Amino acid sequence: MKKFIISILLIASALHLPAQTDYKASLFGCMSDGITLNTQSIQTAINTISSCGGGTLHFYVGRYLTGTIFLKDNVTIALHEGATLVGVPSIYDYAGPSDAPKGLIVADGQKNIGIVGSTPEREFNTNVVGNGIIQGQGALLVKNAEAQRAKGYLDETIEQAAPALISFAGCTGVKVTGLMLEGAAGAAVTFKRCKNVETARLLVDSRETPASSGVVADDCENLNVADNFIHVSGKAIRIARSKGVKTTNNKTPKGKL
Amino acid sequence: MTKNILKLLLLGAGLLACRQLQAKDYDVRDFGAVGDGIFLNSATIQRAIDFVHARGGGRLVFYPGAYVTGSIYLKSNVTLHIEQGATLLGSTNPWDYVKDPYVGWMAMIFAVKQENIGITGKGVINGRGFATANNMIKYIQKGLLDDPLRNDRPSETNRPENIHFRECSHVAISDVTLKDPASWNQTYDQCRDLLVERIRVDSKSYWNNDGIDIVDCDGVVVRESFFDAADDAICLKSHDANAVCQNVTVESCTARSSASALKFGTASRGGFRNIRVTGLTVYDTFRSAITFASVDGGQIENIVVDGVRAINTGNAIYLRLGNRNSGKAPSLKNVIIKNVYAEVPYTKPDAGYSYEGPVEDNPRNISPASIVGLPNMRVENITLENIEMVYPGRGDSLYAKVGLTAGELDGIPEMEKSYPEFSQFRELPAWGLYVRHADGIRLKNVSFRAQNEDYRPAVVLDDVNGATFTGVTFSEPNDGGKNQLFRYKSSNITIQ
Repeated sequence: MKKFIISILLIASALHLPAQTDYKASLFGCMSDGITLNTQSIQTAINTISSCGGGTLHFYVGRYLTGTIFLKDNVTIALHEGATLVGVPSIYDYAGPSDAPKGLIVADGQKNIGIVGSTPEREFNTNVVGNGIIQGQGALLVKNAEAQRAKGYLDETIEQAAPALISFAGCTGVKVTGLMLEGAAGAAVTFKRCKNVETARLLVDSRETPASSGVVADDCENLNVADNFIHVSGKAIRIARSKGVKTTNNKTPKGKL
Repeated sequence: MTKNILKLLLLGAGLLACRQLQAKDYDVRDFGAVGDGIFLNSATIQRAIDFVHARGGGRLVFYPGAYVTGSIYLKSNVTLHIEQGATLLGSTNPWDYVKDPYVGWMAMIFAVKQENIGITGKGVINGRGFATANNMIKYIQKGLLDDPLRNDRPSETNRPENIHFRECSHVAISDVTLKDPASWNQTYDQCRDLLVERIRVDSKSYWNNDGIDIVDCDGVVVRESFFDAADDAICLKSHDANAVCQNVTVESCTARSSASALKFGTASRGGFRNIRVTGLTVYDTFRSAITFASVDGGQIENIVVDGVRAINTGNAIYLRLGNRNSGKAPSLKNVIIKNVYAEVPYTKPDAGYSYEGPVEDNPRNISPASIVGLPNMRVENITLENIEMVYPGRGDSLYAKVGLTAGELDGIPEMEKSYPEFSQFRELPAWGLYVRHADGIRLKNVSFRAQNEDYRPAVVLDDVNGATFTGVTFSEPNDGGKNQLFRYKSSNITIQ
């Protein structure tokens, strides 16, 4: 019996069963106007949801300006069609995991987390592709970082300062699916020491900075990269020192990878 | 016929102007109104309106100052005259607004079943809708108002408009600036003899900020006005299956929108007829310069659009029949669109505006202009004349592809019950114009120009019966002589 329960639990965690509790971003005062900086509202939402046992934070159509937010255990962000997380162009609003690049959406040592493009209430509702957007404003961000460096106020190199859109380190059970990822200052998505990762059905368009990579993974285990369209200025997919990597049906404008 | 109506309208407007000259002016401050931007004047302004109305009418004048108010009701023979430097400032407390039980909407300035009314003067009506809408969200989250928060926003009818007039006649709106409502900006529903001139609409504060909504009205002139709106800029609607929006002239207007610039619909129950639009300038518009949609059983007929210049606009023309459970067959016929120049960009046309249009229906390459009916409900008799459309091209078949095989063309969904939007089908097989389920399509002197290569042909006709192409030209770099006009299941196609 115990074994049975354990195997059920294992199956459940492998399937990444979605948490049942849903929260709308407006409950936490998030503003969809593209002007209000929502960093702390979103962070409060994530912390609250995680401490209540997990769930999904839903963003509906609109532009939500934010700096770095930290995903926590058992929290998924759902970006419905037309919902856009917009990275604030101020360089000092970003942070990262201790040993991985900075990011707009960061997780450090968390489990069972995700950012997903949610199903639109339309006739196409089967295989969600590119719904919900994360926009980095990378060119603007790098320009501002350069200006800060020129004045001597910023100690980091541009490379250190430039955030990825998504930077996860030491996480287990990660889902990044069905999104449009645009204009990263660094890479679009980067994983370090992560396990059981699914990265699928992304439309990546990141060419605002000279060497923006698409999907980057280092020292990961069980990584599935599938059905993505990646149009970037750097390398589309860059995977190092990882085990159990599956890449299927990924495309760039030059053809299939 | 249209000319006569226009004359009548002008005469009506002239009479109204004469009457206003004779009418007495009342200073709203004499009633105790305070233009300090703080004091809530609703009751005072209402008393003033009632008084002027009871005394046979006149102008209630707002001299420079900021007059905060919630809902007020305009009465017959009263004109609100807002002097330059004066502002009617919407209260940001949603409870200061009435949801009128008869019309079912919230608004700052209501008029229901009144005549000879107006809002004039070079002052401003500022709804401050962003704050009001977000305050309303907090009350809904607290459970004080029942609202499903669809798309995480209150329903349009639970947010105040600036103006909502219902069943009024002889209405004149002139010179004012209308700013930042929480919902639609100004609705005229079942009004007769409406003149809107020289107004300026700056309406990008919250969702559904339409520029102007003309609903089931008869005898309307909108002219020399400027609209900058987050949602549809100049919008004709038909809410009542037994009414129709008719005899409308829109002339010399400029529109900017994060949705469509000139739109008929989406609510299209009765229909739209005898409508003439001339001299329309469109820029930085996210969706279509022109969208005519009948999806609720309405009839759209006898429409002339003459003279449109659309720069940096997501799509030029979208004509659509759909059927969202109205139980009544819609129609879309006898439409002439001529003298149009449109430039469609590769990048997002409304980037940087407040409340940008939502990126959706991806993956798709740049969408073509479209005329789309249903297999058994066909778009009829459409003329496109003297038109130049410039497209970016760059359609990439690896990103999204619908080719020209029977399987791919038939695989494009009908989307009969969906919200009608030019992007709704996602990828379409043409870069310039896609026509499906239509009869009697005439293109005369139409030029399609792609600035870069595209994997698609310029035009695809699918299930079109009767089309004439006279002087239609295509240009696309390195097109290798590909067939730019693809016909599928179509008959009686003449190319001259």
